[in-house]
Amino acid sequence: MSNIEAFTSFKRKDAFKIYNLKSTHLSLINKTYTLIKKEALMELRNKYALAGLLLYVFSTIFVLYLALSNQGAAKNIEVKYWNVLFWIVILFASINTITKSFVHENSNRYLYYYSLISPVLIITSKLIYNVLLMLVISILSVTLFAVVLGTPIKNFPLFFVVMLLGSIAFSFLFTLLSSIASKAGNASLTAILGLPLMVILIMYLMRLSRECFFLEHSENLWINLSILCLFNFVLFVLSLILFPYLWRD
Amino acid sequence: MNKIFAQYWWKILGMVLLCCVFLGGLLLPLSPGILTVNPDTAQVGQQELLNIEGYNTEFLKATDDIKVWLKWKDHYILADDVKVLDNQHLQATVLLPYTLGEEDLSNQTMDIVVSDDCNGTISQRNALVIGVNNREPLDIKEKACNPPIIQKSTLFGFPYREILNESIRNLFFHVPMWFCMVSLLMFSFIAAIMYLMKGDIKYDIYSSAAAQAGLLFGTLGILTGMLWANYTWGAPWPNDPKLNGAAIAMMIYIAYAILRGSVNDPIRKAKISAVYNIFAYVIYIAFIFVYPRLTDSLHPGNGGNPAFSNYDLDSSMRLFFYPAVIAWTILGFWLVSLKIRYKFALQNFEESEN
Repeated sequence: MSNIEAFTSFKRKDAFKIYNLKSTHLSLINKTYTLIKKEALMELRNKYALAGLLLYVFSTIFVLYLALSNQGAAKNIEVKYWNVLFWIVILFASINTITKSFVHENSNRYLYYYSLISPVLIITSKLIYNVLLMLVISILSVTLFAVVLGTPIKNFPLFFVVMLLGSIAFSFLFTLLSSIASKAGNASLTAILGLPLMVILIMYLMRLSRECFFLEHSENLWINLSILCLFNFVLFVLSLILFPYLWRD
Repeated sequence: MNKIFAQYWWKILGMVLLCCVFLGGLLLPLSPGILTVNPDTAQVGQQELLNIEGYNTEFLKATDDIKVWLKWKDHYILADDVKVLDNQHLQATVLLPYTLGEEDLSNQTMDIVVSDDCNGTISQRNALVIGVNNREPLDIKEKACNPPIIQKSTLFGFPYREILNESIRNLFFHVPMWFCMVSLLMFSFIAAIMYLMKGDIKYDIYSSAAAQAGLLFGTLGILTGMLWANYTWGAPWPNDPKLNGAAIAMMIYIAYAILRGSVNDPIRKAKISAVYNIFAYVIYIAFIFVYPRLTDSLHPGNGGNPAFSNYDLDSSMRLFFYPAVIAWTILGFWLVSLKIRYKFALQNFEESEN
């Protein structure tokens, strides 16, 4: 099966599942689950996109490693530089990952979904799917960082929480922007629209993840974590409110 | 909205206020202050002759004796003899004891306070560095001295502040420009919400015009702020959260302009730019609350710095500051109304052509 066919065709079984969404006896959770599964299936069917993403992460970190060892800095890299480099890699990986979340299906397909389900469900499923994908990418990146540059992380549970909150924030931020960009007909707009908005977000994440490199954490760690949670909640609510307006043509 | 935009009275009011702000804000003098003290070092156990140079002072007009104090912590030393040379220059003779309040005075810095009934009480902090004695020491006893009674200056002027000096006038330009930018972006945000609710294209025109004008005022605010920072903080771009936050706001609205430029269909352009406007504005406001938690700011009212209103914004500043805020905001909205008229005219022209 060629790349283009994978983009545009469903198997009959999947099409039937999607059609079932119209029926009222399915609960909202079931519907969302079906939509997330559909996203995952499409990602897996179109192996080139996934492989491209993985290659992107691999090659970025490998280039980073080569550049650092070229400068003689790869061994015992200072904690603060590790932190900065890690979040920069995650940032660009997230832009690359989420940019395509609305452009890989054509607009006629969306018209079909629109006749079946409410746009709120579609955006929710996209958000959740992107969070999961970003979490996978983050874990992969941290593993690669650990292999080539070592792990200065002391507090692993906290780092995982920060990484989770970061994945959620990035995917919530970029999903709506990628739908704006796809409506504008130019997928590369996602990065232009998103970068000014995430400057302070990434600084906040760096500040939080810096605490993972020490066993003792600062006194306002919990306030900072709850601010980040609140921030994610605001992004989620904004996406749910604004997406239905984008949807209609 | 269009009715208010078409009326003249508020534009005339704004321009009159703006003229007052430019003329008064730039031409009125500063209050008296102390410019330099020469020499800036003194030694304990000595009689020291200090040349004090005033700024905008009228020492000859003082009717009672001009008094000069040296201040360290809560202790004062009164100068024995003060000679007025001219309006700007004083000569004070001070005897410096070894101790003050039973504490050693060597290697301390002292403030200088000058007071009379015309110029009021003026002072300079850390004007004099007290060194250790290497001359023939005099036997000087510590004398208890009452602190000066604060007198108000009879000369009208903006407050004289060390470091700020004449640049305090920038308060009438820099700060109102930010107020104007914030109100324009707020207007743009509300118009974007109105567009999504009502679907009327005129709200989109309001929203985009206000965002453009806001971007202009933000740029002006950054430029005036950089000029000010260069003189008072020593660099045009110190790492300050408010500066960085302002730069981010500019980036967001440049991205907004790029988004609008990349879509041709007017309805689609209106819709997606309204969505981006709302999304970006809410996130930006959320950031502004979070960001100061990350670092301290050099701005007044942040990071332990006293706010302007505490002591700098006295009645003479208020007299020009509030009109300046109103005047610059009116100028901003006038700009928006012109932009809106232009866009409506363009739309009508295009429709008649088709």
